[in-house]
Amino acid sequence: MLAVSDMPTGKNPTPDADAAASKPLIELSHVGVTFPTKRGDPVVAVEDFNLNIAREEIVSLVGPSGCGKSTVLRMLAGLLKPTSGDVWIGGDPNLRGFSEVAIVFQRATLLPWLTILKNVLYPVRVLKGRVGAEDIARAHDLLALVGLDDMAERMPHELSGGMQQRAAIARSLILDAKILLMDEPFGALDALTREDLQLDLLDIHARTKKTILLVTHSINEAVLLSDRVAVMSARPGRLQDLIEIDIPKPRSHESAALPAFIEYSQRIRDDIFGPRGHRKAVS
Amino acid sequence: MSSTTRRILAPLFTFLLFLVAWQVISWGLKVPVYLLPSPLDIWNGGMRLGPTIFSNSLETLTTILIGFALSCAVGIPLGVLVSVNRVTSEAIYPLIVFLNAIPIVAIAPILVVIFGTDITARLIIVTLIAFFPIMVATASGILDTPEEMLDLARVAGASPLTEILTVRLPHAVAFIFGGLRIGVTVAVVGAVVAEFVNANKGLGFLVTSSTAQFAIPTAMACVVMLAIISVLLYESVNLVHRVFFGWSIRREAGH
Ligand SMILES: Nc1ncnc2c1ncn2[C@@H]1O[C@H](COP(=O)(O)OP(=O)(O)OP(=O)(O)O)[C@@H](O)[C@H]1O
Ligand SMILES: [Mg+2]
Repeated sequence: MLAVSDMPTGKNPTPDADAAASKPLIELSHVGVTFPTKRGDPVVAVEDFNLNIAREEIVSLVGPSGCGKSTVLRMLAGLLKPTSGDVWIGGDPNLRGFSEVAIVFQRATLLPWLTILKNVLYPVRVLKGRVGAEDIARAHDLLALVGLDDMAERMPHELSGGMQQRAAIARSLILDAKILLMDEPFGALDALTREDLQLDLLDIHARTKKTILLVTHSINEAVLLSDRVAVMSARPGRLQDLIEIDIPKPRSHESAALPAFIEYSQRIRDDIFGPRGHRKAVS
Repeated sequence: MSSTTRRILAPLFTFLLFLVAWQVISWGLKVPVYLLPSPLDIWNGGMRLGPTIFSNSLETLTTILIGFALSCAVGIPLGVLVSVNRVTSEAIYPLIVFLNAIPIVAIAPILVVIFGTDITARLIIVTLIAFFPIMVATASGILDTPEEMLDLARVAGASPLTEILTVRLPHAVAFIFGGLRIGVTVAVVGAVVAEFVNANKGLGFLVTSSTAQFAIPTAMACVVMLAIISVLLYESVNLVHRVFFGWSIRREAGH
């Protein structure tokens, strides 16, 4: 555990780096993504999308299905090149791999032929070609952080869905990337496990100071976890609203009862659904 | 009776019943031995060969095993090549389909003329017939790899080769074993065909030479031996799959 909380946080002592720290870590400016289709018109998935994310910030991306949330994430992960505009990470337009940007998918995507420990170490194996003793120690620390220390030698199919997703989170932290991208990480889990993991994520953020971009379909989750919530509009995906969530930290599920929490949720709902979202309340 | 003993005893019983019925019908209808030998005739035919049947079985088994190993060595990499990349696929696939379209029985005598009567020609014949199912199965497995697993490898910075070695091939294991199961059975067929046209040893050779002398029961004994070899090899592939790649079987069973 100690090894994890002692890890470099992205804060740098030199004044030069301080200036860099005040710059956003992630900059998306006028980004457009167009997919060619076999027949007919190309699909404009994302258009003129602008978003800056500061170090250590948690930003949620919400919006209707198909509005381009995953596309934005895949772009930041380097899996996709923007058709237009610029994507900068840490002032660098050339994206790097897991050591800079780590990703958690909706499904845990553990490799079924590897033990949990080896799954967590997979990015190390790919990056360095071999796994050292210190990497193994670190993997055990991370498994402890997500509460899976006794599962290291199990195979993925022996774990529940929630445990698998915890393992995937541990894997995303193994190379100590500054940025954590999460695409509906809790979407496939039951409500209780989900609430549990949400708090775990806040805890992990408090310890590791990652910069997190989280895609979610849950407005509640977005408000609970985020410093800011970015609402996207559908087809083509644009940034529709950017909401600063000013709710005191540390947050917990009790925060959801605060009037501010409810107001933020309502505003996001209005952004997504328009006046339709009000119908129930009005009639 | 436990379910495992039942799984073994039930088919054994059916098989014995089949043999007894065959024997009784042979006696009852007085079927001439040269038309259809009874199980006891076949047994006696085998006994007449004595230890020769085992040394010849060993000969055939060697051809099958080396040929099968070659088929894997050719089929698995080719399966990767035709599935992993558009260019290699377009370049290689037509040739392979052409090779597979060649009737093995027709080309066997030609290969004997080229390579003589040593094992080379036989191995080529076995490989030609057995690599194809292995290749196709490997290719299906490689293509079946879930996109998210590939994304994971790519975000981790995997090169295309690392991606194949650490994600695509392990994922393809269950498919590859499907191909190996078919491959090993057709390898037996290939070995026999090869021995028909080119050999002075082996079960295939014994079948042709005994038939030429109208020793039908002896020929049938060799055929039975071939069937036993085929079943044993098939089960060996299953065993290797279960013991060394058990996770790929569980994955299929689960969900
Ligand atoms: N590889 C692709 N080829 C063609 N079109 C694509 C591709 N990937 C995404 N799209 C299209 O881009 C749009 C945005 O997709 P994306 O997956 O980013 O949406 P999303 O906001 O993540 O949706 P969801 O909430 O359902 O996950 C969709 O209309 C989709 O059809
Ligand atoms: Mg998505």
